[in-house]
Amino acid sequence: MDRTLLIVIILTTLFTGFLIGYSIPPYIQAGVFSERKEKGVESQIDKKMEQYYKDLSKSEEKE
Amino acid sequence: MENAANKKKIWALVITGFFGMISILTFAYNNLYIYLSAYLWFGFIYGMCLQYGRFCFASAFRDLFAVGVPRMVVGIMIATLLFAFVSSFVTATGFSTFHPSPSGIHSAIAGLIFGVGMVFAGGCASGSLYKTGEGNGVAFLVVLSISITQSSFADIGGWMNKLVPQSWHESAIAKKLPEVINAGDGWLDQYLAGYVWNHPTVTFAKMAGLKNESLSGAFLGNFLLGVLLPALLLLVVVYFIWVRKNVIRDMSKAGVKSIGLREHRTGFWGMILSSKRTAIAGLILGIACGLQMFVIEGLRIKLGIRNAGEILTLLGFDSGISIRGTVFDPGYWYVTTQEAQWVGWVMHKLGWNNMDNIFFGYINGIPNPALNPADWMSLALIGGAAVMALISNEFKFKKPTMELAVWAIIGGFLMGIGSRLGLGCNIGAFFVRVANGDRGGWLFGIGMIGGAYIGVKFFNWWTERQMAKEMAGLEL
Repeated sequence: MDRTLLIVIILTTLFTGFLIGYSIPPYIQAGVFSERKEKGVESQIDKKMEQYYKDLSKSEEKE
Repeated sequence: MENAANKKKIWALVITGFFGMISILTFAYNNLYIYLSAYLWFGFIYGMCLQYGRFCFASAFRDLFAVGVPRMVVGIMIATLLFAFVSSFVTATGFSTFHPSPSGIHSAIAGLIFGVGMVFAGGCASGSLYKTGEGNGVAFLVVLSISITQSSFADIGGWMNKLVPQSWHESAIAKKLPEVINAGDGWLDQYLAGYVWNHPTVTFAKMAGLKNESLSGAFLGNFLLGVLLPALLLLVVVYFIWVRKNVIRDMSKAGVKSIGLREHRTGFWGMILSSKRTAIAGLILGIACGLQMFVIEGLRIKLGIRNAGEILTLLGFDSGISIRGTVFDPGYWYVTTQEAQWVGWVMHKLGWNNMDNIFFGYINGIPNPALNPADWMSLALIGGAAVMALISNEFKFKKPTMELAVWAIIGGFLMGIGSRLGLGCNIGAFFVRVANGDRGGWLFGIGMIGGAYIGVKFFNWWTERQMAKEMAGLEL
Protein backbone atom coordinates (compact mmCIF):
# COMPACT_ATOMS: atom_id res chain seq x y z
CA MET A 1 0.00 0.00 0.00
CA ASP A 2 1.13 3.54 -0.74
CA ARG A 3 2.93 5.04 2.29
CA THR A 4 1.12 8.39 2.05
CA LEU A 5 -2.24 6.63 1.92
CA LEU A 6 -1.24 4.57 4.95
CA ILE A 7 -0.37 7.74 6.90
CA VAL A 8 -3.70 9.34 5.92
CA ILE A 9 -5.61 6.20 6.94
CA ILE A 10 -3.77 6.05 10.29
CA LEU A 11 -4.47 9.73 11.01
CA THR A 12 -8.14 9.38 10.05
CA THR A 13 -8.48 6.24 12.17
CA LEU A 14 -6.85 8.02 15.13
CA PHE A 15 -9.25 10.95 14.98
CA THR A 16 -12.40 8.89 14.36
CA GLY A 17 -11.26 6.34 16.95
CA PHE A 18 -10.97 9.14 19.49
CA LEU A 19 -14.46 10.37 18.56
CA ILE A 20 -15.94 6.89 18.94
CA GLY A 21 -14.18 6.42 22.26
CA TYR A 22 -15.36 9.84 23.43
CA SER A 23 -18.99 9.03 22.61
CA ILE A 24 -19.17 5.56 24.21
CA PRO A 25 -19.13 6.54 27.94
CA PRO A 26 -22.36 8.59 27.63
CA TYR A 27 -24.11 5.51 26.24
CA ILE A 28 -22.82 3.38 29.12
CA GLN A 29 -23.87 6.05 31.61
CA ALA A 30 -27.32 6.15 30.03
CA GLY A 31 -27.62 2.36 30.41
CA VAL A 32 -27.79 1.49 26.72
CA PHE A 33 -25.46 -1.50 26.90
CA SER A 34 -26.67 -2.77 30.27
CA GLU A 35 -29.94 -4.50 31.07
CA ARG A 36 -31.31 -1.53 32.97
CA LYS A 37 -34.71 -0.73 31.58
CA GLU A 38 -34.76 2.94 32.51
CA LYS A 39 -32.43 5.03 30.46
CA GLY A 40 -31.00 8.32 31.62
CA VAL A 41 -27.96 9.78 33.27
CA GLU A 42 -27.82 8.93 36.96
CA SER A 43 -27.22 11.50 39.66
CA GLN A 44 -23.63 11.69 40.84
CA ILE A 45 -24.61 13.11 44.25
CA ASP A 46 -23.33 11.17 47.25
CA LYS A 47 -26.12 9.24 49.08
CA LYS A 48 -25.31 10.87 52.47
CA MET A 49 -25.34 14.30 50.87
CA GLU A 50 -28.69 13.52 49.21
CA GLN A 51 -30.15 12.51 52.60
CA TYR A 52 -28.73 15.70 54.18
CA TYR A 53 -30.62 17.86 51.66
CA LYS A 54 -33.80 15.82 52.14
CA ASP A 55 -33.58 16.32 55.93
CA LEU A 56 -32.90 20.00 55.39
CA SER A 57 -36.16 20.43 53.48
CA LYS A 58 -38.02 18.48 56.19
CA SER A 59 -36.78 20.81 58.92
CA GLU A 60 -37.76 23.82 56.80
CA GLU A 61 -41.29 22.40 56.47
CA LYS A 62 -41.53 22.02 60.27
CA GLU A 63 -40.54 25.66 60.77
CA MET B 1 6.75 13.17 -13.68
CA GLU B 2 7.68 11.40 -10.44
CA ASN B 3 8.45 14.77 -8.87
CA ALA B 4 4.95 16.03 -9.67
CA ALA B 5 3.40 12.89 -8.17
CA ASN B 6 5.47 13.34 -4.99
CA LYS B 7 4.36 16.95 -4.75
CA LYS B 8 0.75 15.82 -4.93
CA LYS B 9 1.36 13.33 -2.12
CA ILE B 10 2.80 16.11 0.03
CA TRP B 11 -0.31 18.16 -0.67
CA ALA B 12 -2.45 15.21 0.42
CA LEU B 13 -0.62 15.17 3.76
CA VAL B 14 -0.93 18.95 4.08
CA ILE B 15 -4.73 18.76 3.63
CA THR B 16 -5.04 15.91 6.14
CA GLY B 17 -2.78 17.76 8.56
CA PHE B 18 -4.85 20.92 8.14
CA PHE B 19 -8.05 19.13 9.17
CA GLY B 20 -6.17 17.50 12.05
CA MET B 21 -4.90 20.86 13.27
CA ILE B 22 -8.41 22.35 13.09
CA SER B 23 -9.74 19.51 15.25
CA ILE B 24 -6.96 19.73 17.82
CA LEU B 25 -6.86 23.52 18.12
CA THR B 26 -10.63 23.99 18.30
CA PHE B 27 -10.94 21.20 20.88
CA ALA B 28 -8.17 22.77 22.95
CA TYR B 29 -10.00 26.12 22.77
CA ASN B 30 -13.39 24.69 23.73
CA ASN B 31 -14.39 21.03 23.99
CA LEU B 32 -17.78 21.80 22.40
CA TYR B 33 -16.00 21.99 19.05
CA ILE B 34 -15.61 18.22 19.14
CA TYR B 35 -19.18 18.07 17.84
CA LEU B 36 -18.16 19.91 14.68
CA SER B 37 -15.03 17.76 14.38
CA ALA B 38 -17.22 14.65 14.37
CA TYR B 39 -18.96 15.97 11.27
CA LEU B 40 -15.58 16.89 9.79
CA TRP B 41 -13.93 13.47 10.10
CA PHE B 42 -16.91 11.50 8.85
CA GLY B 43 -17.16 13.92 5.92
CA PHE B 44 -13.46 13.28 5.24
CA ILE B 45 -14.07 9.51 5.19
CA TYR B 46 -17.05 9.93 2.85
CA GLY B 47 -14.90 11.98 0.47
CA MET B 48 -12.14 9.37 0.44
CA CYS B 49 -14.60 6.53 -0.17
CA LEU B 50 -16.56 8.36 -2.87
CA GLN B 51 -13.40 9.15 -4.81
CA TYR B 52 -11.94 5.67 -4.39
CA GLY B 53 -15.13 3.91 -5.50
CA ARG B 54 -16.11 6.54 -8.14
CA PHE B 55 -19.35 6.49 -6.20
CA CYS B 56 -21.79 8.54 -8.24
CA PHE B 57 -25.50 7.85 -8.68
CA ALA B 58 -25.60 9.68 -12.02
CA SER B 59 -22.76 7.57 -13.42
CA ALA B 60 -24.36 4.45 -11.98
CA PHE B 61 -27.67 4.85 -13.80
CA ARG B 62 -26.09 6.36 -16.92
CA ASP B 63 -23.76 3.34 -17.19
CA LEU B 64 -26.70 0.99 -16.69
CA PHE B 65 -29.19 2.60 -19.06
CA ALA B 66 -26.77 3.79 -21.73
CA VAL B 67 -24.25 0.91 -21.95
CA GLY B 68 -25.72 -1.81 -19.73
CA VAL B 69 -22.91 -1.81 -17.13
CA PRO B 70 -24.38 -2.51 -13.67
CA ARG B 71 -21.10 -2.26 -11.68
CA MET B 72 -21.88 0.94 -9.80
CA VAL B 73 -25.59 0.28 -9.23
CA VAL B 74 -24.54 -2.97 -7.54
CA GLY B 75 -21.97 -1.09 -5.44
CA ILE B 76 -24.60 1.44 -4.34
CA MET B 77 -26.97 -1.34 -3.30
CA ILE B 78 -24.21 -3.06 -1.30
CA ALA B 79 -23.44 0.22 0.47
CA THR B 80 -27.13 0.73 1.22
CA LEU B 81 -27.40 -2.78 2.68
CA LEU B 82 -24.38 -2.35 4.91
CA PHE B 83 -25.46 1.09 6.08
CA ALA B 84 -28.93 -0.31 6.78
CA PHE B 85 -27.47 -3.08 8.91
CA VAL B 86 -25.43 -0.66 11.04
CA SER B 87 -28.36 1.77 11.22
CA SER B 88 -30.67 -1.00 12.43
CA PHE B 89 -28.32 -1.64 15.32
CA VAL B 90 -28.28 2.08 16.23
CA THR B 91 -32.08 2.30 15.86
CA ALA B 92 -32.57 -0.75 18.09
CA THR B 93 -30.61 0.95 20.88
CA GLY B 94 -33.13 3.80 20.71
CA PHE B 95 -30.43 6.37 20.01
CA SER B 96 -30.72 6.87 16.28
CA THR B 97 -30.49 10.44 15.03
CA PHE B 98 -32.70 9.58 12.05
CA HIS B 99 -36.25 10.91 11.72
CA PRO B 100 -38.43 9.68 8.86
CA SER B 101 -39.91 12.38 6.64
CA PRO B 102 -43.47 12.77 5.40
CA SER B 103 -43.72 10.79 2.20
CA GLY B 104 -46.18 10.60 -0.65
CA ILE B 105 -46.38 11.00 -4.40
CA HIS B 106 -44.38 14.23 -4.05
CA SER B 107 -41.32 12.13 -3.07
CA ALA B 108 -41.45 10.28 -6.41
CA ILE B 109 -42.02 13.50 -8.42
CA ALA B 110 -39.10 15.15 -6.62
CA GLY B 111 -36.93 12.12 -7.38
CA LEU B 112 -37.91 12.26 -11.04
CA ILE B 113 -36.83 15.93 -11.37
CA PHE B 114 -33.64 15.16 -9.45
CA GLY B 115 -32.88 12.12 -11.63
CA VAL B 116 -33.17 14.08 -14.88
CA GLY B 117 -31.00 16.83 -13.37
CA MET B 118 -28.20 14.53 -12.23
CA VAL B 119 -27.86 12.96 -15.70
CA PHE B 120 -27.81 16.40 -17.35
CA ALA B 121 -25.21 17.63 -14.86
CA GLY B 122 -23.07 14.51 -15.22
CA GLY B 123 -23.01 13.96 -11.46
CA CYS B 124 -25.37 13.58 -8.52
CA ALA B 125 -25.18 15.79 -5.42
CA SER B 126 -22.54 13.68 -3.66
CA GLY B 127 -20.75 12.81 -6.90
CA SER B 128 -20.37 16.47 -7.79
CA LEU B 129 -18.85 17.16 -4.37
CA TYR B 130 -16.18 14.47 -4.70
CA LYS B 131 -15.44 15.46 -8.30
CA THR B 132 -14.96 19.05 -7.08
CA GLY B 133 -12.29 17.59 -4.81
CA GLU B 134 -10.61 16.13 -7.90
CA GLY B 135 -10.33 19.64 -9.35
CA ASN B 136 -13.23 19.26 -11.77
CA GLY B 137 -14.60 22.71 -12.72
CA VAL B 138 -17.86 21.31 -14.15
CA ALA B 139 -18.63 19.58 -10.86
CA PHE B 140 -17.92 22.81 -8.97
CA LEU B 141 -20.41 24.61 -11.23
CA VAL B 142 -23.00 21.90 -10.50
CA VAL B 143 -22.53 22.39 -6.74
CA LEU B 144 -22.84 26.15 -7.18
CA SER B 145 -25.98 25.79 -9.29
CA ILE B 146 -27.63 23.39 -6.77
CA SER B 147 -26.78 25.77 -3.92
CA ILE B 148 -28.06 28.97 -5.56
CA THR B 149 -31.23 27.29 -6.84
CA GLN B 150 -32.15 25.86 -3.45
CA SER B 151 -31.38 29.02 -1.56
CA SER B 152 -33.49 31.14 -3.91
CA PHE B 153 -36.29 28.57 -4.22
CA ALA B 154 -36.65 28.44 -0.43
CA ASP B 155 -37.63 32.10 -0.26
CA ILE B 156 -39.35 32.90 -3.54
CA GLY B 157 -42.89 34.22 -3.23
CA GLY B 158 -44.50 36.99 -5.30
CA TRP B 159 -45.85 35.61 -8.57
CA MET B 160 -45.01 32.06 -7.44
CA ASN B 161 -47.70 32.43 -4.75
CA LYS B 162 -50.27 32.40 -7.57
CA LEU B 163 -49.22 28.82 -8.38
CA VAL B 164 -50.07 27.64 -4.86
CA PRO B 165 -53.39 25.75 -4.54
CA GLN B 166 -55.83 27.46 -2.15
CA SER B 167 -56.01 24.32 0.02
CA TRP B 168 -52.23 24.43 0.62
CA HIS B 169 -52.45 28.12 1.53
CA GLU B 170 -55.26 27.55 4.01
CA SER B 171 -53.59 24.51 5.53
CA ALA B 172 -50.29 26.41 5.91
CA ILE B 173 -52.04 29.30 7.68
CA ALA B 174 -53.90 26.84 9.93
CA LYS B 175 -50.54 25.52 11.23
CA LYS B 176 -50.28 28.79 13.20
CA LEU B 177 -46.52 29.16 12.80
CA PRO B 178 -44.91 32.26 14.33
CA GLU B 179 -45.82 35.48 12.52
CA VAL B 180 -42.21 36.25 11.54
CA ILE B 181 -42.16 33.11 9.40
CA ASN B 182 -45.15 34.17 7.34
CA ALA B 183 -46.15 30.65 6.25
CA GLY B 184 -48.81 32.00 3.89
CA ASP B 185 -46.18 33.66 1.68
CA GLY B 186 -43.67 31.79 -0.47
CA TRP B 187 -44.20 28.74 -2.68
CA LEU B 188 -41.98 26.36 -0.72
CA ASP B 189 -43.39 27.50 2.63
CA GLN B 190 -46.91 26.69 1.55
CA TYR B 191 -45.81 23.45 -0.10
CA LEU B 192 -44.15 22.34 3.15
CA ALA B 193 -46.67 23.54 5.75
CA GLY B 194 -49.77 23.19 3.58
CA TYR B 195 -49.02 19.93 1.76
CA VAL B 196 -45.95 17.90 2.83
CA TRP B 197 -46.54 18.14 6.57
CA ASN B 198 -50.03 16.72 6.10
CA HIS B 199 -48.51 13.45 4.95
CA PRO B 200 -47.64 10.64 7.36
CA THR B 201 -44.14 9.51 8.22
CA VAL B 202 -43.99 5.80 7.47
CA THR B 203 -41.28 3.26 8.19
CA PHE B 204 -41.38 -0.41 7.21
CA ALA B 205 -41.34 -1.35 10.89
CA LYS B 206 -44.47 0.73 11.42
CA MET B 207 -46.11 -0.86 8.36
CA ALA B 208 -45.41 -4.31 9.81
CA GLY B 209 -46.97 -3.26 13.10
CA LEU B 210 -43.64 -3.21 14.96
CA LYS B 211 -42.09 -0.54 17.14
CA ASN B 212 -39.33 1.29 15.28
CA GLU B 213 -36.93 1.40 18.25
CA SER B 214 -37.05 -2.32 18.97
CA LEU B 215 -34.84 -5.19 17.85
CA SER B 216 -37.62 -6.75 15.78
CA GLY B 217 -38.73 -3.39 14.35
CA ALA B 218 -35.23 -2.33 13.38
CA PHE B 219 -33.99 -5.64 11.98
CA LEU B 220 -37.14 -7.41 10.75
CA GLY B 221 -39.20 -4.40 9.75
CA ASN B 222 -36.73 -1.80 8.57
CA PHE B 223 -33.77 -3.95 7.51
CA LEU B 224 -35.31 -7.17 6.19
CA LEU B 225 -38.57 -5.87 4.73
CA GLY B 226 -37.44 -2.32 3.99
CA VAL B 227 -33.96 -2.83 2.60
CA LEU B 228 -32.75 -6.40 2.12
CA LEU B 229 -35.74 -7.76 0.16
CA PRO B 230 -36.27 -4.69 -2.10
CA ALA B 231 -32.50 -4.42 -2.73
CA LEU B 232 -32.29 -8.11 -3.66
CA LEU B 233 -35.30 -7.70 -5.93
CA LEU B 234 -33.65 -4.73 -7.62
CA LEU B 235 -30.40 -6.68 -8.09
CA VAL B 236 -32.29 -9.64 -9.55
CA VAL B 237 -34.08 -7.30 -11.99
CA VAL B 238 -30.71 -5.77 -12.98
CA TYR B 239 -29.29 -9.26 -13.49
CA PHE B 240 -32.17 -10.47 -15.65
CA ILE B 241 -32.37 -7.37 -17.85
CA TRP B 242 -28.70 -6.45 -18.30
CA VAL B 243 -26.39 -9.27 -17.14
CA ARG B 244 -28.19 -12.57 -17.86
CA LYS B 245 -27.66 -12.47 -21.61
CA ASN B 246 -23.92 -11.89 -21.19
CA VAL B 247 -23.70 -14.81 -18.75
CA ILE B 248 -25.52 -17.11 -21.21
CA ARG B 249 -23.25 -15.95 -24.05
CA ASP B 250 -20.04 -16.45 -22.02
CA MET B 251 -21.11 -19.87 -20.71
CA SER B 252 -22.15 -21.03 -24.17
CA LYS B 253 -18.71 -19.97 -25.46
CA ALA B 254 -17.11 -21.93 -22.62
CA GLY B 255 -19.00 -25.03 -23.76
CA VAL B 256 -21.68 -25.19 -21.04
CA LYS B 257 -24.63 -26.91 -22.70
CA SER B 258 -27.55 -26.37 -20.33
CA ILE B 259 -27.74 -23.16 -18.35
CA GLY B 260 -29.87 -23.57 -15.25
CA LEU B 261 -30.36 -22.03 -11.83
CA ARG B 262 -26.87 -23.03 -10.66
CA GLU B 263 -25.22 -21.19 -13.58
CA HIS B 264 -27.38 -18.13 -13.02
CA ARG B 265 -26.48 -18.15 -9.33
CA THR B 266 -22.80 -18.11 -10.35
CA GLY B 267 -23.53 -15.29 -12.82
CA PHE B 268 -25.39 -13.31 -10.17
CA TRP B 269 -22.53 -13.69 -7.71
CA GLY B 270 -20.10 -12.67 -10.45
CA MET B 271 -22.13 -9.49 -10.98
CA ILE B 272 -21.87 -8.71 -7.26
CA LEU B 273 -18.09 -9.32 -7.24
CA SER B 274 -17.44 -7.39 -10.47
CA SER B 275 -17.95 -4.13 -8.62
CA LYS B 276 -15.07 -4.81 -6.19
CA ARG B 277 -13.77 -1.24 -5.92
CA THR B 278 -17.23 0.32 -5.59
CA ALA B 279 -18.26 -2.44 -3.18
CA ILE B 280 -15.22 -1.83 -0.93
CA ALA B 281 -16.03 1.89 -0.91
CA GLY B 282 -19.66 1.01 -0.23
CA LEU B 283 -18.69 -1.25 2.63
CA ILE B 284 -16.65 1.46 4.37
CA LEU B 285 -19.29 4.11 3.56
CA GLY B 286 -22.03 1.99 5.08
CA ILE B 287 -20.11 1.38 8.28
CA ALA B 288 -19.01 5.03 8.53
CA CYS B 289 -22.59 6.28 8.03
CA GLY B 290 -23.84 4.12 10.87
CA LEU B 291 -20.92 5.07 13.09
CA GLN B 292 -21.55 8.76 12.49
CA MET B 293 -25.10 8.38 13.85
CA PHE B 294 -23.72 6.51 16.85
CA VAL B 295 -21.03 9.13 17.57
CA ILE B 296 -23.26 12.17 17.10
CA GLU B 297 -25.94 10.81 19.42
CA GLY B 298 -23.27 9.90 22.00
CA LEU B 299 -21.89 13.43 21.82
CA ARG B 300 -25.37 14.89 22.21
CA ILE B 301 -25.84 12.92 25.43
CA LYS B 302 -22.35 13.84 26.61
CA LEU B 303 -22.73 17.55 25.89
CA GLY B 304 -26.37 17.64 27.05
CA ILE B 305 -27.76 19.07 23.82
CA ARG B 306 -30.36 18.12 21.23
CA ASN B 307 -29.21 20.38 18.40
CA ALA B 308 -26.01 22.13 17.34
CA GLY B 309 -27.84 25.45 17.66
CA GLU B 310 -27.34 25.11 21.42
CA ILE B 311 -23.59 24.67 20.91
CA LEU B 312 -23.37 27.78 18.73
CA THR B 313 -25.32 29.74 21.35
CA LEU B 314 -23.00 28.49 24.12
CA LEU B 315 -20.00 29.49 22.00
CA GLY B 316 -21.48 32.98 21.61
CA PHE B 317 -22.44 32.68 17.93
CA ASP B 318 -26.21 33.06 17.93
CA SER B 319 -26.46 34.83 14.58
CA GLY B 320 -28.28 32.89 11.86
CA ILE B 321 -29.96 30.48 14.26
CA SER B 322 -33.62 29.67 13.53
CA ILE B 323 -36.35 31.10 15.75
CA ARG B 324 -36.61 27.70 17.47
CA GLY B 325 -32.92 27.97 18.40
CA THR B 326 -31.91 25.27 15.94
CA VAL B 327 -29.55 24.94 13.00
CA PHE B 328 -29.29 22.16 10.44
CA ASP B 329 -27.89 19.23 12.41
CA PRO B 330 -29.07 15.95 10.86
CA GLY B 331 -26.69 13.70 12.78
CA TYR B 332 -25.94 11.74 9.64
CA TRP B 333 -24.69 12.18 6.07
CA TYR B 334 -26.47 14.91 4.17
CA VAL B 335 -25.45 17.04 1.22
CA THR B 336 -27.85 19.61 -0.19
CA THR B 337 -29.28 21.52 2.78
CA GLN B 338 -25.88 22.84 3.85
CA GLU B 339 -25.20 23.83 0.24
CA ALA B 340 -28.37 25.96 0.34
CA GLN B 341 -27.25 27.36 3.68
CA TRP B 342 -23.87 28.67 2.57
CA VAL B 343 -25.39 30.57 -0.35
CA GLY B 344 -28.30 31.63 1.89
CA TRP B 345 -25.79 33.05 4.37
CA VAL B 346 -24.02 35.05 1.64
CA MET B 347 -27.34 36.34 0.29
CA HIS B 348 -28.42 37.32 3.80
CA LYS B 349 -25.18 39.27 4.24
CA LEU B 350 -25.87 41.01 0.93
CA GLY B 351 -29.24 42.18 2.23
CA TRP B 352 -31.74 39.47 1.19
CA ASN B 353 -34.07 38.82 4.14
CA ASN B 354 -34.34 35.05 3.78
CA MET B 355 -34.97 34.27 7.46
CA ASP B 356 -38.74 34.74 7.15
CA ASN B 357 -39.33 31.33 5.56
CA ILE B 358 -39.76 27.83 6.99
CA PHE B 359 -36.65 26.29 5.44
CA PHE B 360 -34.14 28.78 6.87
CA GLY B 361 -36.00 30.78 9.52
CA TYR B 362 -37.99 28.01 11.21
CA ILE B 363 -35.91 24.85 10.76
CA ASN B 364 -32.33 25.07 9.50
CA GLY B 365 -31.10 28.59 10.13
CA ILE B 366 -28.22 30.10 8.21
CA PRO B 367 -25.25 30.08 10.58
CA ASN B 368 -21.83 31.29 9.53
CA PRO B 369 -20.44 28.52 7.24
CA ALA B 370 -17.27 28.49 9.36
CA LEU B 371 -19.38 27.25 12.30
CA ASN B 372 -21.99 25.20 10.49
CA PRO B 373 -21.48 21.50 11.41
CA ALA B 374 -22.91 20.21 8.13
CA ASP B 375 -20.67 22.61 6.20
CA TRP B 376 -17.67 21.18 8.03
CA MET B 377 -18.80 17.78 6.76
CA SER B 378 -19.15 18.89 3.12
CA LEU B 379 -15.86 20.81 3.06
CA ALA B 380 -14.07 17.85 4.62
CA LEU B 381 -15.75 15.59 2.04
CA ILE B 382 -14.22 17.70 -0.74
CA GLY B 383 -10.92 17.58 1.15
CA GLY B 384 -11.06 13.79 1.58
CA ALA B 385 -11.76 13.34 -2.13
CA ALA B 386 -8.89 15.69 -2.96
CA VAL B 387 -6.54 13.68 -0.73
CA MET B 388 -7.43 10.41 -2.45
CA ALA B 389 -7.17 11.99 -5.91
CA LEU B 390 -3.77 13.50 -5.06
CA ILE B 391 -2.42 10.20 -3.74
CA SER B 392 -3.59 8.26 -6.78
CA ASN B 393 -2.31 11.02 -9.09
CA GLU B 394 -5.82 11.71 -10.38
CA PHE B 395 -6.09 15.30 -9.22
CA LYS B 396 -6.22 17.82 -12.04
CA PHE B 397 -7.82 21.25 -12.41
CA LYS B 398 -10.22 20.97 -15.34
CA LYS B 399 -11.79 24.10 -16.79
CA PRO B 400 -15.34 23.56 -18.02
CA THR B 401 -16.17 24.10 -21.69
CA MET B 402 -19.12 26.37 -22.47
CA GLU B 403 -21.36 23.45 -23.46
CA LEU B 404 -20.59 21.46 -20.31
CA ALA B 405 -21.04 24.58 -18.17
CA VAL B 406 -24.56 25.09 -19.57
CA TRP B 407 -25.48 21.45 -18.86
CA ALA B 408 -23.99 21.74 -15.37
CA ILE B 409 -26.10 24.80 -14.59
CA ILE B 410 -29.32 23.27 -15.99
CA GLY B 411 -28.68 19.95 -14.23
CA GLY B 412 -27.78 21.69 -10.97
CA PHE B 413 -30.95 23.77 -11.20
CA LEU B 414 -33.15 20.66 -11.59
CA MET B 415 -31.32 18.88 -8.78
CA GLY B 416 -31.79 21.93 -6.55
CA ILE B 417 -35.55 21.97 -7.19
CA GLY B 418 -35.80 18.18 -6.76
CA SER B 419 -33.87 18.33 -3.50
CA ARG B 420 -36.16 20.87 -1.92
CA LEU B 421 -39.32 19.14 -3.10
CA GLY B 422 -38.05 15.75 -1.90
CA LEU B 423 -36.49 17.12 1.32
CA GLY B 424 -33.06 15.86 0.27
CA CYS B 425 -30.92 14.55 -2.54
CA ASN B 426 -29.64 11.12 -3.59
CA ILE B 427 -28.08 10.87 -0.12
CA GLY B 428 -30.54 12.58 2.25
CA ALA B 429 -33.72 11.57 0.44
CA PHE B 430 -32.66 8.17 -0.90
CA PHE B 431 -29.54 6.55 0.59
CA VAL B 432 -30.06 7.52 4.24
CA ARG B 433 -33.84 7.14 4.18
CA VAL B 434 -33.86 3.75 2.49
CA ALA B 435 -31.19 2.47 4.88
CA ASN B 436 -33.32 3.57 7.84
CA GLY B 437 -36.51 1.92 6.63
CA ASP B 438 -38.29 5.10 5.52
CA ARG B 439 -40.83 4.35 2.79
CA GLY B 440 -40.20 7.79 1.29
CA GLY B 441 -36.64 6.77 0.40
CA TRP B 442 -37.82 4.14 -2.08
CA LEU B 443 -40.44 6.52 -3.50
CA PHE B 444 -37.71 9.10 -4.14
CA GLY B 445 -35.50 6.33 -5.53
CA ILE B 446 -38.15 5.07 -7.96
CA GLY B 447 -38.62 8.64 -9.21
CA MET B 448 -34.85 9.15 -9.43
CA ILE B 449 -34.34 5.98 -11.49
CA GLY B 450 -37.20 7.02 -13.79
CA GLY B 451 -35.71 10.51 -14.10
CA ALA B 452 -32.27 9.08 -14.86
CA TYR B 453 -33.81 6.92 -17.61
CA ILE B 454 -35.53 9.94 -19.17
CA GLY B 455 -32.30 11.93 -18.85
CA VAL B 456 -30.24 9.22 -20.59
CA LYS B 457 -32.77 8.86 -23.41
CA PHE B 458 -32.87 12.63 -23.89
CA PHE B 459 -29.08 12.81 -23.94
CA ASN B 460 -28.85 10.03 -26.53
CA TRP B 461 -31.35 11.90 -28.72
CA TRP B 462 -29.46 15.17 -28.23
CA THR B 463 -26.06 13.65 -29.04
CA GLU B 464 -27.37 11.94 -32.17
CA ARG B 465 -28.98 15.20 -33.29
CA GLN B 466 -25.74 17.11 -32.73
CA MET B 467 -23.72 14.47 -34.60
CA ALA B 468 -26.17 14.51 -37.50
CA LYS B 469 -25.81 18.28 -37.69
CA GLU B 470 -22.01 18.03 -37.68
CA MET B 471 -22.08 15.36 -40.37
CA ALA B 472 -24.39 17.49 -42.46
CA GLY B 473 -21.94 20.38 -42.05
CA LEU B 474 -19.05 18.21 -43.26
CA GLU B 475 -20.98 17.10 -46.31
CA LEU B 476 -21.56 20.71 -47.29
